[in-house]
Formats: sequence, structure tokens, C-alpha cells
Amino acid sequence: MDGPAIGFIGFAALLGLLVLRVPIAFAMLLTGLVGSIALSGFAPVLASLKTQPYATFANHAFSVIPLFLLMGALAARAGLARALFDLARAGLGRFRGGVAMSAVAGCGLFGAICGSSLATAATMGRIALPELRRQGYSHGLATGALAAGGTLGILIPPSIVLVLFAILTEQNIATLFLAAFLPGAMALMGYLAAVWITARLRGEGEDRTTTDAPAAGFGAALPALGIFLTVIGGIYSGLFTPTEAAAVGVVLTLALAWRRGISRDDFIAALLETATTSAMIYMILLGADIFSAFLARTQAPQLLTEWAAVSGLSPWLLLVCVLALYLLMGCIMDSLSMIILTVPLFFPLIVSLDFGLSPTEVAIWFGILTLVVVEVGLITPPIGMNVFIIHRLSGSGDMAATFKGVVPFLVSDVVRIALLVAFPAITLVFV
Amino acid sequence: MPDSDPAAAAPADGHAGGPVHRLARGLAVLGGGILVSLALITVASIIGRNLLSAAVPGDYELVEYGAGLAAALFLPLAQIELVHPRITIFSDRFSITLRRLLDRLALAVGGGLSLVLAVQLCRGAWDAFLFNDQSMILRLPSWVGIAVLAAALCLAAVLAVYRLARPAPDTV
Repeated sequence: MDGPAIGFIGFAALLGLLVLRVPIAFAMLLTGLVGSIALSGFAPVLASLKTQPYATFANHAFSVIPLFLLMGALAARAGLARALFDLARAGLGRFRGGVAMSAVAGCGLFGAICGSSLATAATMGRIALPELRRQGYSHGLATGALAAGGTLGILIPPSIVLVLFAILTEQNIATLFLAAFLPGAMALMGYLAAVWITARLRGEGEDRTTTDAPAAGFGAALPALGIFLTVIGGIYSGLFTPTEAAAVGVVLTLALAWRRGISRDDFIAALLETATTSAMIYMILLGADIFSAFLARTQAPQLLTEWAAVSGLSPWLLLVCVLALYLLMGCIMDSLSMIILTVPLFFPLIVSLDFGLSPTEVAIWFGILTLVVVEVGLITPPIGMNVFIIHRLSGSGDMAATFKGVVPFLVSDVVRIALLVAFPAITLVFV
Repeated sequence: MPDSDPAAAAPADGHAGGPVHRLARGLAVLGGGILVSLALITVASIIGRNLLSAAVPGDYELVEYGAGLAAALFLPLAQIELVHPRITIFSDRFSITLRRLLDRLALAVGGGLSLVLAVQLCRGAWDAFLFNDQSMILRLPSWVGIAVLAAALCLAAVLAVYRLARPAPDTV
């Protein structure tokens, strides 16, 4: 049997294990090891295991991940959500659907210091859901706005998904963050429009309240803005590397949480949350490392790229197919695993195609497109994680109503994806 | 909060607070403490570099080494709380008995793999010890890092067996 055939069998075995409920990290580890043994025998594979797992864990590039996660976990417990929500209400409260819009905008502001969607959705949801209910918003609009708003956590830099993409494809994290700005702003505007239109069509959200204390909201939100500007500004100005920026973010967020009186239990909870998420990502990275080493040896990825070159298919069609596959996979598996599993396979393919852009531009553009489609997976059934989180927080209504509430925001997502695919300039304008 | 299955990420009922769980939590908090220290050292280094033109020597190495240690110390907690994401959508239609059986098999696979890695890493740590492998500036011995990872994976394997021995791992 030749290499590529073993490669495709390996991939099929991996999918089989996934269907049988084996965690993604261990499924990749097992197929990668067995496949490599089939190709080159026991001894060299076992020998490589003496050092390779440590090389993954003590990899300087990866250290940015737990640091950014810790920053987000601390931010979620620093009591910022209320201030950011109030600030948004001061600006948006006068519009129809203003409270729901404020929840979305609050998520956007929070996303600027938190790189995780679930943390953003959960943190803002706890503050905004009771208020939305008090103002008489329907279950669907309230939960939909928060579930979709939560995705701004990864769409607006810093973003754990972009960090992972940058590491896997050896791209510049700062450039990717910069490229994500305009698409992130578009997402925010699109969601605000979705709230406004839905509220108008259904005749809800006529409260048009403003909060009494916009100044207080602004004062409390200033530190959050300061952290964002220091972390992101520091990366762009070259004052520090992304890893150092994450470290600065941890220290500043910790100082802020300290000043606002974070409890010992909350601090421990932030550490534990960082621990479990980091361990999960490191194990997947280790599994992916071993699986891709096997896959590369079978030459299956090269075969895929060569096939694309000779197939005569339009690059645009292939790109749309890959994105569609991502949308589909996003419906059945979690975003981080999906990125780690598939980017090493598809990235070389997409970069080899001719879109009239330089390879680096294609890499950046594909990174942002990947980010955006992955984000959609967080709010689509059957396993939209943000929707689950918000639904659980709301503690009422049926799941179908919650998913129905997300539909206007999905429409806005589809429009945005189409624009980003059709006009790469939107992503590349600042780069 | 992880971008993963919230059900799987929830603390495993009936196991929280037990001595094994407390040990895993303690190690994770220790790892978290290492991370916070790394952040503080890095900030000190940035300030020193820019204001006093004297960075903390070997800060890069320290972050690499420390983050590796921290990530290793996080592994047992991730194993006992079953946070490693998996795909459950296809098996939702299986009977509860079959799902529980599959979950036990998956635990055995995860535990077995962790054990294989731990054994090989022990040998790797021994090699590194014999060769006296160190980092460039601070001379941090790599065998310690490798040994900690081996121990963490070994504990993770034990915890997988521990979960296996409990009646019916959570099936969601």
C-alpha cells in the first residue's frame, strides 16, 4: 500500500474514533502513532516520544495561549461587564431595541480584552439577561443577541482562535489582529442592525431608556480601554512581542481585579478555568503534532494540493468549498479542535491557489475567513456553544426558541462572510 | 471558559471535593501560580529593558520553561474533569448502555496513551539527565521539565482508570 492510501485510511480511522466518542486529542494521538508505526516501525516512533511531547509543551510560541486565557478569565471576574454594559446603554439606549443593542455592544467592548467567546457570552449574559427581561424583551431576541454578541469575543482581537491560527501557519499574530479589526467592527455593526430590524419587525424594545449614570459607566470602563490599548498598541508598536503583551495583559487585568476586590475564590476559579482550557488545547496540539507528522509522511496533503492544481477548478470555488466544509464541521465539533485538526491540511492548499494576492495576503485573508466561519459554528445548532451557555443562564424557554432567536444574527453573518470573501481588501486594507 | 462542550466542562458530579480531585486542583492552582509569576517576570523584564536598559536575563527561556511546567501541571485536572472535547452528535442515538461502554473505552484509550507517553518521557528524562541537557543562559535542566510532564501524564493515566472504576462516567 502506498503512502497517500495509508494517509486516507488514517484520516478515516480518525473520523471513526471521533464518532465513537473518543476525545479529539486522543483520537489524533492514537491514529498518528499507529499510522507512523505502520509506515516506519515501532522503534523510531517510540524513540520520538521520548522528547516530542516535551517539545510541544515547552514551546515558546504556545506560551501566549495560557497567558491570554488567564487574562480573559481574570477580566471576566473583574466586575467590568456591568460598567461596559452601562457605557453602551448611555450611547445606544435611545434607539429601539436599545437594551439588546447595548448587550451586543457590551460584548464587543468586553471582547477587546477577552479572547474567548464563551467567556464573553457568559460574562455579559449574567449582567444583561436580567435587564433585558425586566424591559420586556422576548426570550428569542434577548438570548439571540447575547449568544451572537458573545462571538465578538473571538472576532475582536485579542482572539485565541487567531493566535492558534498564527502559530499553526507561522503567520504574524500582530498582523492577524490588525486584519481582524475591520471585520470585527463589521460584525458589531451587523449585529446591532440585526437587533434594530428584529425589534422593529416584532414591535419590541420600545423602552428607549437611558441609564442615569453614563459618566460613571465611562469612568469604570476606562481601565478596560486602557488595558486594550496597552496590549494591542504594544504589539503593533513593536514595544513588546505577543507573548509579552499577553503577560502585560495578565498583570494589568490582575491589578484591576485586585482593585475592584476580586475574592480569593474567584481568583482560584480564574486559575482553574485557565488550567482546564489550556490543558485541553495543549493535548490537542500534541495530538495534532503527532497526527500531522504522520500525515505529512504519507504525502496526502501534498496530493490534495497537487490535485487542486491539476483539477482546473476555480480557486474561488475551492475556497468556498473549504469554508462551507468549515461551516458544516463547526456544527458538530468545537472551534479550537476544528482549527487545529484542519488548518494544517487546508492552509497549504489555499495558499497555493491564485487569487491575485501575495501568499502572505492570502494567508492573512484565509485566517480571518476561518475565524469568521468558526465563529458561526458557535451559534448554529446542534452544538452552538454560545447558545447553550446563554440558554442555561436564561433558565427558561425551550431550546428551539433560543436557536430561532439567533437566526437574524446568522443572516448578518452570512452577509458579512460573503462580503469578506468577495472583497479581500476589507481584511487587507490595514495590513 | 473553554470553547468546548459545556456539559463535559462542568465539574464531574460526585467526584468534586474528593482527595484525588483536590490533588488535581492543587496542581492546577500551582501551575496557575507559575503563570502569574511568569507574567510578573515578563513585565519586570519589559520595564527593565526600556527604562533601565537591563532586561531580566533569560526571560525568554524562563517563559518557555515555566509555561511548559504549568501546562503539564494542568493535565490531571483536565483528565478528572473530562474537559477534553469530543464529538457526541453522532452517538446521541445510541442506547445509554452503548454510550457508557464507549465512554469507558475512550477513557481506557486516553489513559493508555497517557501511560505510553509517560513511560517514554521517563526514558527521555533519563537521557537528558545523562547528557546534562540545559538551557543556554539560565542552565535550566531539561530533564526536570520532561520528568514533570511524565509524572503529570502518569497521574492523568491513573485518574482515567479512577474515572473508569467509578460507576457510569457522565454521559451527556
